[in-house]
Amino acid sequence: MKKAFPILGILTGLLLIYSMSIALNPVIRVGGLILDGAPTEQTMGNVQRIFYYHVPSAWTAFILFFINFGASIYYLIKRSPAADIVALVCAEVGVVFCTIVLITGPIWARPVWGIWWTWDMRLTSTLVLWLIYVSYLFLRRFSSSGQTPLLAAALAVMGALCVPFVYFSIWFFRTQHPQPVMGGGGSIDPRMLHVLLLNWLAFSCFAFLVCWSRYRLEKLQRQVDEAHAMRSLMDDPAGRTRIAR
Amino acid sequence: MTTNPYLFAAYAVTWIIHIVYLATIASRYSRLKREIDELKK
Repeated sequence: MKKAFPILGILTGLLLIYSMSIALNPVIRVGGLILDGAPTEQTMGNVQRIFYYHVPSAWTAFILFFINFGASIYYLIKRSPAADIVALVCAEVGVVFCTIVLITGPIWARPVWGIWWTWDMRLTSTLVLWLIYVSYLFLRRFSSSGQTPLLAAALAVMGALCVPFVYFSIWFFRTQHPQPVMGGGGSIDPRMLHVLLLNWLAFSCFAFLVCWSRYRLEKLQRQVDEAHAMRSLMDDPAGRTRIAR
Repeated sequence: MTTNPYLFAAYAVTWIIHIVYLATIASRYSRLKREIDELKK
């Protein structure tokens, strides 16, 4: 298990470099090989290549929020500390990806729509989703009550209900945002789809590794906190009596 | 490919956010290691 992490890390790094190269270049030359990169979109030009980071980041964030939802439900049923850690880690990494979506979106919108932001349903609901999970992380960070994991799990269940709303909002409301790439009736060049899926795979592997690393850190942190608590009980004579009982 | 400032900004911001987040994880790891060393004393 300890050896798997650096190997997966190197493979993910290579995949991220390769997927970024084909997202940025129409033609990649590796040695004697000529590989197809993403073609340049006719209307928007090269700025459309933001799509290969914006959309996979959004999908990765949604998946992480769904894992957070599943782990929170499991925690509410079984009170499993491992599920609580998984929920926390997925929310944290999901917020990082959602932040990227909220920043790269306006950077793409400015040259294409002529505005940085508009209060339409897709953009507003994504911002609300981000705020829900940021408040979830604030709750985890600053509440010292023993009920914090329970309250956080309940909030996560509410937050997850927002995810399908964000995704399908462009079907039900008239918005500035384009239709979804998959399942929305829109069409995409197969080479663009290939690059998009490859970038999504790279981001998913990266997110998995970050979650794995963060899970180990959180588990270790809780063990250290327990050790601190035990030590303070042992230092306190009244506490020592309580442990002896 | 002509350099587009918006494209460059979007890719740069993405990687800056990831690197900053990874740096916070690394700093939390080193702080925790120090705590463990203190506990072992």
